[in-house]
Amino acid sequence: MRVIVVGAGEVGFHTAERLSIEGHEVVVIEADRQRLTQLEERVNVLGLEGNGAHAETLEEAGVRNCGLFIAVTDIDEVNIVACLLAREYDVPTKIARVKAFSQGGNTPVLSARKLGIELIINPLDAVAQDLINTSMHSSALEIAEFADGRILFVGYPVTDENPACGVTMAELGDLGMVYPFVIVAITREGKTIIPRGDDTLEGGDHVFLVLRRQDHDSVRYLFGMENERVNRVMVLGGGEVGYRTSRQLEKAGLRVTVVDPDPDVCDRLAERLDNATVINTEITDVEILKGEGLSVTDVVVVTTADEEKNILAALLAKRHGAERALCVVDNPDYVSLAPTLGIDACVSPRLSTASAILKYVRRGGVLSVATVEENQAEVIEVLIPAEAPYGGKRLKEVSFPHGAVVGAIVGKDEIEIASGDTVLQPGARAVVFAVPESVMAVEAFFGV
Amino acid sequence: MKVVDFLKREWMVSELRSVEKSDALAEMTEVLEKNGIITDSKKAVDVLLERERLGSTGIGEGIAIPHGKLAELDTVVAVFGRSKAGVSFDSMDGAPVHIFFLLLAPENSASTHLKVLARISRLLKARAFRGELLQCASADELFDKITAEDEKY
Repeated sequence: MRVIVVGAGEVGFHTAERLSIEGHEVVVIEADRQRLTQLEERVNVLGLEGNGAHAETLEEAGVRNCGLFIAVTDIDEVNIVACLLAREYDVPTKIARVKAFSQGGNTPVLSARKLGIELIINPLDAVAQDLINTSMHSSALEIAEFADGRILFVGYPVTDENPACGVTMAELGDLGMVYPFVIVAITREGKTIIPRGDDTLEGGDHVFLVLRRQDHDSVRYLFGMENERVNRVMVLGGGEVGYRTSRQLEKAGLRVTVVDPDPDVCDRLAERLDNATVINTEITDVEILKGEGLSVTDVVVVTTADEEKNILAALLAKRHGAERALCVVDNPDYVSLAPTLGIDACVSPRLSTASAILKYVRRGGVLSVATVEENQAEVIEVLIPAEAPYGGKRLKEVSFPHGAVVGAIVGKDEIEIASGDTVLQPGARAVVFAVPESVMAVEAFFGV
Repeated sequence: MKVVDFLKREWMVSELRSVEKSDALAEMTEVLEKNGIITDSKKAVDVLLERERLGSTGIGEGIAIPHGKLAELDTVVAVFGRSKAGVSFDSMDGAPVHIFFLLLAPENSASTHLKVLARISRLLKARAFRGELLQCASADELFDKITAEDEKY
């Protein structure tokens, strides 16, 4: 499929890179020559210098045969106009990144539907959602739900002290009788490995599993994480992202404290939040934060627009007893730096946006999707088609694409964590993990 | 690693008298207390029941592998228990449990706990072996049968 991406900033770059790896024909329109050159040097896409809000540029980019149009420049108006133009060229799917457009706000004057754009994505919404997911599940690096929440995809860090460290995949497989889960991937030194029986978990690995929600507590026990429930959260920075994160977390029943240095911001927060405690002070004012229970806080989430200060505040919070610290950082160099400093996770509005776009892009038979570790892999939930030639066969009898693993099969009444004996029943749904290079093969396998 | 590295001939309960979950667990942990391996079998039962609350270790087809962590231990220990009548154990298939492999590990046993658990699970996958365990006449015979099966892998 031809994909046009307008804007080669961080979001455009990641989106274009991923779609190109998946085998799509990607054209990127960018006004800045230098950005374009950098992109073309690193990613296999066609670059076009110009303004994406001009019809001539779009025609030159091949908008007439375009299946997917993604406008993600830094300027809202350019993105909206570009999508409106693409609509005139009958592009079936149009996505615009619009900062001044919130799903969380009150009734918006304009809506994606009124504009005839399929998806309008606000980076603040995307980042708040990622912060909420990451902070709710202690220790879990990633967590995504499938089959209406009955199946979970979770990632855990494996430390040298972890009981699973040094255990082979075959041994973990034997545990399946007591602990039904499938290990679908390991990431080690930045590489994603689809594990085989003789692979061993090592300290520093991240391990990714598919399991039933009802088994999550016992599996946490197996991995030595049973005592790590999240109760108290402190949100530093009460801007839009801080507010949305706090709101969701208080709704989920957690004890939330929000901190902001601006008294007006605090007044508004106090009005809009039900149970959260609002504190008016600097986010780096450790003495006051300690008085508010910093040392017994499970997760500190730092959300101001000042990313250097966010990193500092996250480090201070950890130093003074907070169990975990998450931090909003957008500069890509900082994103990779922060974990080495001891910050538990960084969430980047740009990466969150790119990942939300990719989620949306999967269509047709794909019912749900989650991306893993800065888009190194995906988990998709997909329907097994009625006419599938392998319908009714066991997984071990079928030649399944390389770089992909079936985690679970969701039937009408029951959920089966996949093994070699699992039957691919047409009409059931499969939850599948795939590295980017294999996504297309998996989609072809399921006739998507 | 073998299961018999952690299971002793004296720790075989060939005829469990209990029919309820916590009584059966107590019967097996008391064996460890009598042998001076643990000091408080009630504490051990609490630990095991706490784990059961997360989800039953009764994995169906008459098998259960109750397990837990106990700070006072310095190595993993296993107890075998058999009930001809069956123990009600909230198993996944609802059926009573006839064969128990009970496992207690130190708090910081690292991977040993998982590896022993994996090995026991593996042995119990063999249907024939499960059937033979029910036929054994004595604790000695049970122990020899387990040792022999353990040698196969």
